[in-house]
Amino acid sequence: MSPDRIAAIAAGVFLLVALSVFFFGKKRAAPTEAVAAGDSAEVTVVVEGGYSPDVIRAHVGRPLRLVFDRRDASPCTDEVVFPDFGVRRALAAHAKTVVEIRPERPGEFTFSCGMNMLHGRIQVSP
Amino acid sequence: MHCAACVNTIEGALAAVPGVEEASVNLGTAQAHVRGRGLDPERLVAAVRESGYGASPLDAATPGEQEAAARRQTREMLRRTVIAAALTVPVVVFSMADVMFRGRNLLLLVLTLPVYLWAGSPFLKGALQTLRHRTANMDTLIATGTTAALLLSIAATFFPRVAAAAPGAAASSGSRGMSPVYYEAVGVILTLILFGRYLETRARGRTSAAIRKLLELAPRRARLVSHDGAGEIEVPLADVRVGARLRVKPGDSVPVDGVVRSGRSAVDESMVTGESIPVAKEPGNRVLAGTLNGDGVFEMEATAVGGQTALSQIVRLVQQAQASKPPIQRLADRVAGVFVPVVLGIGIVTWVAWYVLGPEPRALLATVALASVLIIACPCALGLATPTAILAGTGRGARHGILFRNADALEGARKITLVLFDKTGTLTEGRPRLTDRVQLAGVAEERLLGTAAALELASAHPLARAIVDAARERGIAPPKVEAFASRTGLGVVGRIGGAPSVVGNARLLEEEGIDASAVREELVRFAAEGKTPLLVAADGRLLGVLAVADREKPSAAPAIARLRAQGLEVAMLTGDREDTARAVAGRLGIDEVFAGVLAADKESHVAALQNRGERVAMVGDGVNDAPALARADVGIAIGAGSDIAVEASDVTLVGESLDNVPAAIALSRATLATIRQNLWFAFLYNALGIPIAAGALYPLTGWTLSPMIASAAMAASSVSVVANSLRLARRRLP
Repeated sequence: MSPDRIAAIAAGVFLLVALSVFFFGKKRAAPTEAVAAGDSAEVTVVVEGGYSPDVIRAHVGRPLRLVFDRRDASPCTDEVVFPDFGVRRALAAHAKTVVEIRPERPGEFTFSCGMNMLHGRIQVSP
Repeated sequence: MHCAACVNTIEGALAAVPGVEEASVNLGTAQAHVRGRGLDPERLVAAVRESGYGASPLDAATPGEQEAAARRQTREMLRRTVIAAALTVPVVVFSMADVMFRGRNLLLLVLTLPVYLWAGSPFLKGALQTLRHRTANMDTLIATGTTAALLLSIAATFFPRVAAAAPGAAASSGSRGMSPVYYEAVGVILTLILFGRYLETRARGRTSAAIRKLLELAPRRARLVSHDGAGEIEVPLADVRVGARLRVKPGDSVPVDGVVRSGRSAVDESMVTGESIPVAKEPGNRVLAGTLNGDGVFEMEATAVGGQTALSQIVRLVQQAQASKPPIQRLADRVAGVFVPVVLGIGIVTWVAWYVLGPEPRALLATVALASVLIIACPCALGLATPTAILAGTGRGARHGILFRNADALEGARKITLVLFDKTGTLTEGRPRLTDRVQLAGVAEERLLGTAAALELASAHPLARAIVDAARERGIAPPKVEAFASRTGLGVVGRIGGAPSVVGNARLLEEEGIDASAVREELVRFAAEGKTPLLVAADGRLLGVLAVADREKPSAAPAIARLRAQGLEVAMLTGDREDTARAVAGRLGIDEVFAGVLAADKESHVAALQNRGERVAMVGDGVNDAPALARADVGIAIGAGSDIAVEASDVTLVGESLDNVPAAIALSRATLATIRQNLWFAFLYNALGIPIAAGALYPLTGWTLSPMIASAAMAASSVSVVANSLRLARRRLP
């Protein structure tokens, strides 16, 4: 086998490993605590090819106001879905959309884009 | 904020913000409306806070604004598509015609670059942004695929010799005349995908159109009747309070839920209940927001406004259902979650395999195959399969007065084998009426009905109202009764004009020693017809018999026939006696009857049917049937009127008509079938398309797939999924 072919295989293996580590490796993300605002807690989530912050901490019984600030126009972020809370909301491009949810039991709840490709989590503690 | 002074302060503070042309604060709703140019909500909020009050932006974008934003986005997409196409056409012509001239490749690059950098910028930006989050989506695939094709072409344009000398590139000049450039591929891919997205966005907007149409039903303004009752003023809907008196003129939409206080009209409720015939309204009747008044004028008192109206509840319920996912979607979700990284991996393997094993020019063919794989893969088809079908299906239902609580309800309704109806109030009108009258010779109608009505007037029995109503309708004034007594299980007795009088069943007359043999045949006939006979006697002599029955709804028999045509068994549950129940069931075409069932035992009957292996849909009124509705595989609450959010039910039918029962089942079957077709299509498309694009067929047939064909397939795949879902929105319901 010619050296360039061996190099191509080696590069391919390296890229595959890099790819899996990059996408599936453990993502360190410190949860963002929602800021108390009156009776509810509020956090602004910037939507730009993903959600930042993507891990949000909330508390049982305290309504959580998520202000989605969508800064892109890609159809991938058109909607945000909270399956556990029965919320599917269209996010207007370059605008803010408020989603209010009321966590009623502790646990981790995910939210995602309409096609379940971009993800975020809400960690609800008692 | 407590008073008009506060209003003034806040209005002043808002007006002082640069750019504000008009600011008005509503004390009642605690909302401020601000009009102007270049406004920043945060600045406005800050201004209010500085004036000593609290404020937050309303849902930043109202549905109207959101829609406008979506329309702008669609237009922008179309503009990009058109410009990209205009630049791409000459590139394709030069490439296909193999026109040779000095600097040809440079010209192609100049034409392609704006397509890539400007028209394709949403994909490039999107891809970079997702990478920052260590995730990947459609944009990643498109950006990587087109970038690979573009870099390959640029290398060949500026370093034709290097490209030609590169391993595997030697033979390329033979096939293409010059160095291998793929500019036309970059342009065509981006143009087609942009066009596909444009079509997809437009079609997706249509799948959710039902909700928008519901929201538009309520008028923006209402006619408030002035205090003297003569004049009227038009006010914005937000200012209408519970208890307000409103006037509704011919052709008006009813602004809020309420009760008619004066006037008469026929109201078209089809948009809310699905019932096509206008409903007559007179004082005391309920009217619903969003329904359309006919030719009459009436005044109504508001009983529910804003988010409390039936219409708002419908919208909320539908939105909630549209956010839920059926179990069938879970697999698709798992696949979608890892789809893009896996496709990128397949791309790498493809490139290496072509480079190592492929024929010359290896580097070129490997890169083209890589681009094809990335471009043809379409996670969108997978991601759109379920939500678009649910949007279209639940939306279609909502327009017809059929509300699914969630996607599980849709899936459950598809699997049922038996439909169990509660009789009273569901199959029947729930209000007994006088149906037959038998007078003995020499007895006037007035005497018979008058006597019966006089005695029943004091009775609390549900059958009593039927008699009293019948007398009133005929203008018969009941005489005065003395010494009234109720005989439980038998009837009532009293004295009218001194004469002892009785109304009740055959046993009561027997006990009173009155001969009823003259009507024996009629009594047998009434029992067989499911009617309840009331014998009337005065002064020891029988006057006649009145038969009372709860009439079946006109829609009952046709609905049951349709359910049977759908291959379902139909059963009925009632507290009535066996013979009465059988008579009703016979007329309606129901073969299985559970008679004499107490309200508390309905649930156990559902359970018994389930133990027999049936999947039961229980149809009831949602109030006293709640436990049975909850126990059933699918609980269908009917005639909810304004009490839409019946908790125990999976499906709520807004109108009284039973037509919607077979329609709901047909719709859920159709929706699930659509989801299934979409998912199969999306899985198969990717499972076949990706290997073919990677060149799996090459060793056998010598086939490879051009990235341009791949992009056309990709664009077509997600559009076909959405188009398939849209068929639901246009579907005719039985």
